[in-house]
Amino acid sequence: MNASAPTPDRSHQHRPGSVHDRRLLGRLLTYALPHAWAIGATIVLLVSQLSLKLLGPEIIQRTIDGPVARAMDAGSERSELLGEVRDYALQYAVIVAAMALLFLAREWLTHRTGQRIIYEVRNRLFGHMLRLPIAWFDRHHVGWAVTRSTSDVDALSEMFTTGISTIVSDLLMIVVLIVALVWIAPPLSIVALVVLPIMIYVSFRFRLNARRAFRATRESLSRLNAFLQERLVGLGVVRLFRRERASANRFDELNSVYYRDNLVTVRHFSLFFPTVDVLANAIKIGTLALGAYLLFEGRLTAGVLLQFWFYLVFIFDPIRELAERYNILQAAMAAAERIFGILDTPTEMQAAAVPADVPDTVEEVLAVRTGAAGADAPAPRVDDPDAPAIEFERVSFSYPTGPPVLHEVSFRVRRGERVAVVGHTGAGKTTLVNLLCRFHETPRGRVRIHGHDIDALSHHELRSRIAIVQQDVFLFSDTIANNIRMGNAEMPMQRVREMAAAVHAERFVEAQPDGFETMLTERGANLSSGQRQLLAFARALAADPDILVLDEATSSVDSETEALIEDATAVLMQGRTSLVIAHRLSTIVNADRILVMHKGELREQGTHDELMAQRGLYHKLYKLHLSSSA
Amino acid sequence: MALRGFTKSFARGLSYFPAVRTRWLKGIACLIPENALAICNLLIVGHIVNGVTAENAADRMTFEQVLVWTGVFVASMLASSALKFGMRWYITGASREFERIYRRDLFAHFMSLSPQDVAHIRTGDVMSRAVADIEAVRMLLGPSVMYVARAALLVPAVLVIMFMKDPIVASAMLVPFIGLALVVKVAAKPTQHWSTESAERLAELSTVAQESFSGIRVVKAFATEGIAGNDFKRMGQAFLHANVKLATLRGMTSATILTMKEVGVLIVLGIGGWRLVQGQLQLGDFLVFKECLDIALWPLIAIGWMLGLYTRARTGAERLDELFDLRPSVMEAGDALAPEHVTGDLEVRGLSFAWNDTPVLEDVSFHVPAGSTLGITGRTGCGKSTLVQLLSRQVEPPAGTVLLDGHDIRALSFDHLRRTMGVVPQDTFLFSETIRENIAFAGDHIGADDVETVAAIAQVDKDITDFPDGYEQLLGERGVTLSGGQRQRTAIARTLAADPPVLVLDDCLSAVDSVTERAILGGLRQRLQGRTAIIVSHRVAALSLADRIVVLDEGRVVEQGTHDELVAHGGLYADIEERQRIEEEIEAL
Repeated sequence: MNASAPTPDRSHQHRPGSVHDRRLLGRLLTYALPHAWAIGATIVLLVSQLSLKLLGPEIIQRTIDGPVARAMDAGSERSELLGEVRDYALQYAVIVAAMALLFLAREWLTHRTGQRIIYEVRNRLFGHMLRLPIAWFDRHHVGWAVTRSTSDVDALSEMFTTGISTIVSDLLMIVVLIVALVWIAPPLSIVALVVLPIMIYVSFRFRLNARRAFRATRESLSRLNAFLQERLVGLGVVRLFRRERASANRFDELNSVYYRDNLVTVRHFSLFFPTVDVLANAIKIGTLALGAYLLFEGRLTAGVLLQFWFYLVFIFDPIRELAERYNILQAAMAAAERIFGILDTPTEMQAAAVPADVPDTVEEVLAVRTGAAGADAPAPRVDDPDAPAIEFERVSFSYPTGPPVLHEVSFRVRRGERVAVVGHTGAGKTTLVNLLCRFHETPRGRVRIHGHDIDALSHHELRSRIAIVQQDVFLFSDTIANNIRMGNAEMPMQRVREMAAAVHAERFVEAQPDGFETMLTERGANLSSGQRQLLAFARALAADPDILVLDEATSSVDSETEALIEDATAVLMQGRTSLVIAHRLSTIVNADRILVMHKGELREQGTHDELMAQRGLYHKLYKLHLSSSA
Repeated sequence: MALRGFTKSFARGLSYFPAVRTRWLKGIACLIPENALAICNLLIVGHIVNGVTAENAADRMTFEQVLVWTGVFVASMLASSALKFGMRWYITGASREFERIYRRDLFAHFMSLSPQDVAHIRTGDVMSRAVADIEAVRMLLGPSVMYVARAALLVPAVLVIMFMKDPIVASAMLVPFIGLALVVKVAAKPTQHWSTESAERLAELSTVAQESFSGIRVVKAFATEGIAGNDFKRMGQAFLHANVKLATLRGMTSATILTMKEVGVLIVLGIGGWRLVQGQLQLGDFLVFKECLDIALWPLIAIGWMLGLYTRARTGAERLDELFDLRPSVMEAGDALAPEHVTGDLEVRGLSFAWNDTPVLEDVSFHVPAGSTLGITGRTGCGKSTLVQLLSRQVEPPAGTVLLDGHDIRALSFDHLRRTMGVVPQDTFLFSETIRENIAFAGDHIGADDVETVAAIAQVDKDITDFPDGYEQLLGERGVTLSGGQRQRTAIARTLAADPPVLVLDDCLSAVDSVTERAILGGLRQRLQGRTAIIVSHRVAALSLADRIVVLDEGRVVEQGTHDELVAHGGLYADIEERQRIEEEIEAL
């Protein structure tokens, strides 16, 4: 592996300690840098806590070898010895209290710091993802993207909170304790020095096997899940083909594979704990036997033997845990790689090389809207009053794989003009809208609004001038009021009401359990499709754009709602330049001009009467789609 | 009362117990001596230390004696480790077996339900119950029982030992023991609360992310990336808060546990030291006291863990019962018929049907004589699809309204009905398996030749051979994604492969272009020779195969006759026919 070569999309095999991982770690640590003081404090707390931990058994040793040992020799004053024991106990009590406080402080500090770091990483990641081009979202599953901003960030979180702090503390503990063992009783430490490395080896070996077993388990579980999900979604097909039993058998097989993989894991764990126990007990008993020998030889005191015993017990837990920490680190590295992969994907503005001016706060949004942007914001553009509101000049477009969707389309929309776009399925109507809003980049040809090439406008500037109502109305799980004031979060309730009233949404909103404060369920599933459309109208009206782009819904609604929508559409278009992909006869007939698209080309344009008189494409479309609703 | 609640919530779980009883009992049989040996080991260590540090030479152990006791210890520790393995292996293994059966039964239960029975439950919800909830119940009835059993054996045992060694020190040692038990009990509830809180906040955060990504076009259209980001930040703040709370709580719990442990050592040092000086206690016993606390520590903590798990597992078990309580709306009759002779005569007689009080079909009657083809058409929402679902008994029709060869289809066995009547549903759902497996979905008896023959009739054979892996091509996320037309054609092949005497095609050519449509219809014409068929479509070309056509409007049969008759009649059918002519003209422009 060449360390200097840029390798953004490398394999999923992570070898911690490689140059690549160290670079990842370095990049992760830049997030920790602002919290350097907290991390420094953590280390101080850690070292103090460790020192006190070592001090405890030392006091025990002094008690045993001091007053207790002297009690065995006749002649010592009992009360004096008891006083000494009491003093040692008091010292120990102080240590206990101090350790508890240090431990608490350290826990609190590491978690607080870790969570803050993660909070920042998560926000940065999410903010970045929102600014990625639409094309990125077309390529990635929503579920995948959500996992990145939740689970992957959590894997990192574990590293920043428990991971690094405990790995440092565990390693330090193991090293210090081994030194301490050798220091207090060099000959006695022989058993531990021989067996401890075996224990460390076994522990790592186990984690390696356990990880492999875990991975197999996870894979069989995800196969089981995938099968389950498909059979649930395709339940109708399963029943239609009488495959209930066959499906149940197949599920049973997958379920059994998962079960057997789990048993492998169970076996590893069932073996690991007893094995480590055997080793730990071997160290204990070996040390004890050796200690007895040294004691008889007079080369060891009982107190030191006990102190040694205490230190030994301290060392077992971190060894058992060490390999586990290493796994956390590995998982975090894998997550970090994916997260940085996303952060390194250029956002819309980076891709388009226009100023990153998407405001982060409501105040900034308002500032941009009212033209009171800060000094560093680009000066508001001066519109050419004579330029058409919308202009397409020889625009062609095709998706990366596929036939051309638009071919040399040119048209102009005057200020305040109401233009309807009609055409058969696949005529390229929606693509017009996508290009106008720059959801897709760089078509061949030019698109201008008010004389400005849309490539020269920032995304924010462009989109705050255009309000779009999509065919598939997307509402957020928020209150109705907040869905309406989406483009303008500061809008007072009174205005929200007015907007809703203007598009005839007020009546049904008031009928909801909590009126405007009613929470919408996922995508507004608790509303009818007509109601959702009216809310989308209110939302667009609240944004008060120069240009309205409306992709009329084709879904059928009852005739009463139909009348409301028709009327609301007229309200929405009033005094605005509007481009409507029209399906409603009223919208089309009332339009100032109709553009007829067919197979990616602009075939006819004119008013309804003109086009009907031509008896061409429009006439046919009218007969096909519109005559029945007339 | 608590017990009754327990047996009620876990009734189903407990009913699986007999299946895992043997393994379970083996585990318990290991657990008891394992704990006894652990206690022995502790006593041996105490004995050796007592022996080597004895005050007067007469009581002192010789080094040979030390070695003998060391040998005893090694033997006992090996035995105890072997038993510990057995305990974990059997008990955890039993719990996994339990999980397997539980999940198997849940899936089997779902296989008896119809889509409309589960329409109100989200798939993700079923998934999480089938995995996470079963896991929670398993944990409670498996490992946690093991830990609690250990605690129940070890804690009293070490208490007895301590009191035998020295009642004074032992009495004092009750402080850390009770302290530990208290911490565990006190911390269980708030820990549970904040971990639920944290999980909920995370779910909220995921929802915001999910919605923002799904609605990314709206977010961008209103230039509200920053505001959506702020919502996310606010939710993140709540998540952060819950996590810090949880961590603080856990930190405090750990700190108290550690402190209790150290208080134990402090008592051993202070009071034990005092007793040592007085000559009432030996050094080995001093060590035994300290080890007693260590031994009891984990089982005590495990009890707290179990307390936390209990609520979770109980909710899980109840949520699982909700799924098991779903009742199938379409069920096989007790004495279901499976007539040997099939002619394929289908009759619908006075069929009326409503979905939740919304009438969909009103008094629909028609007869499809064996070997003939009936076309059904009408505008969107006229009730065509519901009619198909009823006459194929995907949805239960009223008794006596649908007759196959003179039998009410409700009286026929599912095996017979499905073998006799093949349906190409409107929703052409394919599985993430190979194309061959998808086409041969109806049964394992369908051979490679059959698959290729029907693929050719459905005009999907060339598409298939163009895939890198041909018929072995995997579909779905890990394989290729088919276009709507390819999916429909594959679905047609899937139904043809079963070679049913009665064939129902529910609007299954809507995504296929007109040239391919004609080719498929040509192939079907031959295949339909001598078979009964129902073709539901709004395309005139598809209906042209039919001997008779029924036109539905607002749930009623409004026109009936041959193609020519209906065109001449000048009603709804003629209107549909004219529109399609215009459409073709537009297409040609």
